[in-house]
Amino acid sequence: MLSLFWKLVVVALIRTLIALPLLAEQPSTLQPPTIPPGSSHPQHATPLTLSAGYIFAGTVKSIDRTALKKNAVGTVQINFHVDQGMRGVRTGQALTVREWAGLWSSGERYRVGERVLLFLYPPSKLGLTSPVQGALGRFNIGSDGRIGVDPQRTGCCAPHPGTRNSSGGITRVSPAEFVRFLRGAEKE
Amino acid sequence: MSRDRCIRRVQEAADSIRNLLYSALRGSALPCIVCTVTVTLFFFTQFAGAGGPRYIAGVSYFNQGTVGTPLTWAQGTVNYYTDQGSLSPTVSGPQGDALVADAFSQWTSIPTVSLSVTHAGQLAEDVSGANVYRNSDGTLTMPADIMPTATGTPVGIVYDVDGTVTDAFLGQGAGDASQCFGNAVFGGLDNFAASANFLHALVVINGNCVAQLPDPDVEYRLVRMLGQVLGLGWSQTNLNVQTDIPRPTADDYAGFSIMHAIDLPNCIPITLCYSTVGRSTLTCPKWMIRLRCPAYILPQLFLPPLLEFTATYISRTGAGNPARACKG
Repeated sequence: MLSLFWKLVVVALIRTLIALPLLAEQPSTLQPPTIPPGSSHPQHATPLTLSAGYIFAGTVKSIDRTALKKNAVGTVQINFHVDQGMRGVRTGQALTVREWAGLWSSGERYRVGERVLLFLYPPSKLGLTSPVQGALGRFNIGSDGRIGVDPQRTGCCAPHPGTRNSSGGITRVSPAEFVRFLRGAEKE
Repeated sequence: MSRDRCIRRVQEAADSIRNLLYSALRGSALPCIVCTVTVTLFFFTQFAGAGGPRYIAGVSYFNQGTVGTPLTWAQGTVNYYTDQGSLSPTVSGPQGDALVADAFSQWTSIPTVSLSVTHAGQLAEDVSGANVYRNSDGTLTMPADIMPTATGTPVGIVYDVDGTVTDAFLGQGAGDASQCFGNAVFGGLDNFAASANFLHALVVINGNCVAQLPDPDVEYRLVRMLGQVLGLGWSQTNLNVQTDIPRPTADDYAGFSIMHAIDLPNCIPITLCYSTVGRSTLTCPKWMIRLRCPAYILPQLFLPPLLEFTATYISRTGAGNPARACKG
């Protein structure tokens, strides 16, 4: 007879194996696909900065989810340490944002310790926010402190020596550099 | 242990293992893990082939005997309720109802699927920014029949006529017409039964994104959202349609799943990327055909790779034989 612990491990493993092929499609881990030169896809930057109330690179410190109550809307509270504030927040600040719990169920999730570059809408009258344009307003920051950007698609950022990924045509840039580029492109 | 804590613990455990495996797979070490995963995945091909169920029952909250099974709507029956108000300033409520019915039919018309979706009535109110508000104690309130606990109205469809509901839930400015690429339709499942069934879902359609019907972009996003409401996860099938690596063929387009995770931000309108426009040698994806894709030639009228869907809501003709059902 398996103990509850091992049952949990087995189910988690099964769930993992089912979810593993989906890793690349999770908004938190997915970078938009690369489009090579000559593609018929039009290429222009997404207007992220214009709508954002908060722009920052941060680390998830903790997550609190309100329990489902009869007469109240569920929310998820995410506490960040702002590693680099670029709009609406200061570097070093602790920032707490609240999201509608329905988004969490739909896949807009964070993990403690995760580092992200976020473009967030200003809080609504309910005090809720979310990334601008959904998954498009969220970028994973790698262990090198950079995010992966496809220059062919975004027109952003000449590759730094040694940072270009030969397989995907992705160049890695700092969050600040990427935001500077977007701001410039969206002003034009 | 509360349900939320149970679900969270299972999710965290799974996330930890998933991250561990992913880290191992990304590195050059641990080839034995690769082999193990590969062999094991072989036994889960009905899930891994083209996405799969979004939710799997865990051990602590769900009933005995349901562990490891995909969550579905009980008996494959979905009753949905629509907003009393207009869909947008220029599109009436009944027109909105027709849009929703057509979007649901994209799923129910799949020949191998046994799924019954009924427009069971209307919500008790016109949901708007006025009846979604913050109380003095900081709690948030919205109409009772669209709350996660409103199992009597299992699927609530909100017509957000002026974008204020979208603003309230997603953030200030999210409901603006300029944000339709990401926010034309949002929502999802928000309550689950111990019997491994869905209990409630909410879908909000932003009226600022619907000037007139038909609107392929909004219906496209609505179909995707309803796929999630029916319990489907994302699919990776034929992503070369988006990446161009390798250059997609007509078959790739035809088999490109509508449940792919994200769209390229420059696909406005959506037919720009997924139709024959500019690609005279290619055919329209099957899922676009019923969304009035401008130049389709394929005669088959059902959604693309839906192995996971037929496995989840298996038809009577294919009951007990997923492989047979999937061939449809």
